[in-house]
Amino acid sequence: MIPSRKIFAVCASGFTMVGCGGGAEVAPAADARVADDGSSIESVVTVSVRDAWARPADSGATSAAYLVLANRGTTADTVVGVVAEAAESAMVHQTMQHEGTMHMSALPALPVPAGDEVSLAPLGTHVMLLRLRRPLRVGDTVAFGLLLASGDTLAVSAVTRAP
Amino acid sequence: MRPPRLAPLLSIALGLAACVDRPWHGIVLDPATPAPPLVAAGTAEAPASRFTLASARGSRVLVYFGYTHCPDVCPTTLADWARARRALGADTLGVRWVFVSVDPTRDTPADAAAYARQFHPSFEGTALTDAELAPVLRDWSIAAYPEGDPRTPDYTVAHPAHSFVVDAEGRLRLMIPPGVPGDSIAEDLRRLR
Repeated sequence: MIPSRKIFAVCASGFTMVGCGGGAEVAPAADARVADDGSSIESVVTVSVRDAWARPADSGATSAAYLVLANRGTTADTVVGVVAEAAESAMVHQTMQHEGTMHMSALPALPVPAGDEVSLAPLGTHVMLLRLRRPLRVGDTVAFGLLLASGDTLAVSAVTRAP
Repeated sequence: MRPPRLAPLLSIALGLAACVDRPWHGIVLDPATPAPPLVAAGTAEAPASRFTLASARGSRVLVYFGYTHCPDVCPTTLADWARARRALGADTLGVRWVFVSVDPTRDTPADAAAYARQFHPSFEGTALTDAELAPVLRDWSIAAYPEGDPRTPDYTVAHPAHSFVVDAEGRLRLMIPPGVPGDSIAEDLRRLR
C-alpha cells in the first residue's frame, strides 16, 4: 500500500505522461539536483518507462503488463512494488521453465542497473494485475505505478492490445 | 509457344526439400504412441458436450494444459496458436485447438471454453475435475499443481510448458515449446497431414 502523499509528490514534481502509438512514455522519475557551481550534488536517478502494453482480460480476471525500463542515470535502482487502482492486487512476477513445467513467482525486487535497460516481456518478467476491477478491452489504457527503492514512483500508462 | 510450366514443379521440389531438410519446430515424439485420454468419455464427468480426444479422431489436435488465471505463458501460447491458425488459412480445417484447464478449484469447463475463445472463436476449452486430474497427469507424464495457498484467490498453478500435437490417428506426435512462433507451428501442422 502506497501512501497517497508519495503519489501526490510525484505528480507535483512535474510528472508528465505522453501517450504514443505502441505504448506510453513517462518522464524520468527524479530531477537532477545541481549545485551552484553546476556539479551534481546527488546521484541522479532517471528511470523511465516505454512501450507499455497490457493483455485484454475480463473484470475479475488476471492481466499482465509488459514494458521496458531504462535507467539513464548513474545509480542503480530497484522496482520494489506495484500499485494499481485497476486491480485488487498487483506485483512483478517472473515466469520460469523447469523440467518441462512452467512456474511463476513473485519478484520482490527487480534491479534496474545504471545505464541499462530491463525488458518485461512475454514468457519472462511481467506486471501481474490480479482481480481486475474493470475489464480491459483492446484499446483501453490501464495506469499503474512502479515503486522504486529510491523512493520514487514511476507512473505507467499501458495500452491494452491483442496479445 | 507455351512457357514451360516450371512453377508447379519447382514448388513441389521445394516442398519435398523442405520435408527432407528442414527440422521440425516442435519436439518429435518417436515412436508416436496413442495419446492418452483427456477425460473418460461417457462418464458423468464427461457429458457429450465436453471435448474428448476420441471424438476428435480424424483431426489434428493441439492440446495445451494451463489455467484461466494464467496471465503470461498461457495467453502467449494461445496467441501463437491464433497466428498459426491464420497462417494455415484453409488448411486449418481438420485442426482442433484445445485448452485444458488443470486448475479444478477455480475453472469450470465453461470458464476454460470462454478463455480459449478470447483468442479465436474456434478454439475449444475444457477443465479437468479434481478426480480427472491425477490420471491425466500420470498418463500424459506431465506435472500440474498449485503454487501458493489454493485457499487464497491469487495462487498460481505450475503447468506443462509445451503444447502437444495429436495426429489424425490419435497419436501423440509433437511437443511444441513455448515461444515457437505461429508460422512455425503452422509449418509443423502442415507436415503432419
